[in-house]
Amino acid sequence: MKQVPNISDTEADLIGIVLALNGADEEAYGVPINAELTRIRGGREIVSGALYTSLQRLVNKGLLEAESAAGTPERGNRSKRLYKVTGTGIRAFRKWEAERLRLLDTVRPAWGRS
Amino acid sequence: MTKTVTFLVAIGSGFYVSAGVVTGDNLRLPLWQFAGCVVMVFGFLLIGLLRNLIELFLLRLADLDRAQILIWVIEFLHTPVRADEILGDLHELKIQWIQDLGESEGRRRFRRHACWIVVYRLCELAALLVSSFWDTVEATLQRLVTVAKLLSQIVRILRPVWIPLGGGTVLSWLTGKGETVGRALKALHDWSGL
Repeated sequence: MKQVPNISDTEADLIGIVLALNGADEEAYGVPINAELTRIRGGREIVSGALYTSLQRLVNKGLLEAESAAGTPERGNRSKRLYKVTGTGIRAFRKWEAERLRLLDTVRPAWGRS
Repeated sequence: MTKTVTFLVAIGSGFYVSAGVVTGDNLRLPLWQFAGCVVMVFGFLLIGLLRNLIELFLLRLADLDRAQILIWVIEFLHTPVRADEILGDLHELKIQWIQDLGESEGRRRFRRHACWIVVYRLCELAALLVSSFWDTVEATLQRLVTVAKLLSQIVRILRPVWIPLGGGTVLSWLTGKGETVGRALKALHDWSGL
């Protein structure tokens, strides 16, 4: 069985956002992904170039897949790239989530004592 | 402050890209790549300056439409698909920013973002060059080690021949007494015990 890849926190953020947008039947491309990422980071913006590089890296790793959609006038008739999370991406995200939950389980008793 | 942040972010993004994004597998090193590597060695120190130069030349001095220049640069630096994606997003954001922040501030923010995309892309390309450069260095060193081992084997195999032959010739030349190479060779051979 293929090993589930490890992902960084930023990659997990991006996969999570694309998952959420896909789940809400909204288009997952640069602008809404950037807006959502800024929102969950409390208004701290990601460097624009880094977003596209990170998305491309996830595509290269097989965690996201991208397809082109036709341009619209509000985009200057330039096409957009719509992202979808692949099965591997979902497994990688679940693995990341399980690790974080284990960490929280470890920390919570200490919080209770302090 | 802006310069410091620019500098730190550029270094950070450069290292980030080097570490995780780019894998170079090109073992050839054309001149332009080598030049790129040399520039890159000093590049981390110059990226802050680069950002300011882009701003200076493209955003302040140029009499052309500044945003259009940035769009051309982004188109030039990216593949058509990626450029379309990025510029389409930027176009959408520009309209949104102009609505939210007003004409002047919205356009300024658009240019700043476009400028950062250019800088980030340049960092990516530079990291690609560095990655390719180090792959080449590694491959070259491996080849040199292989050649050195081979030479060492050849020298070891030929040792019984070249010591008497070479030594005999030198001895013959040094003594100048008309000794033949063969006699010197025999003398040396006897002396060396080979």
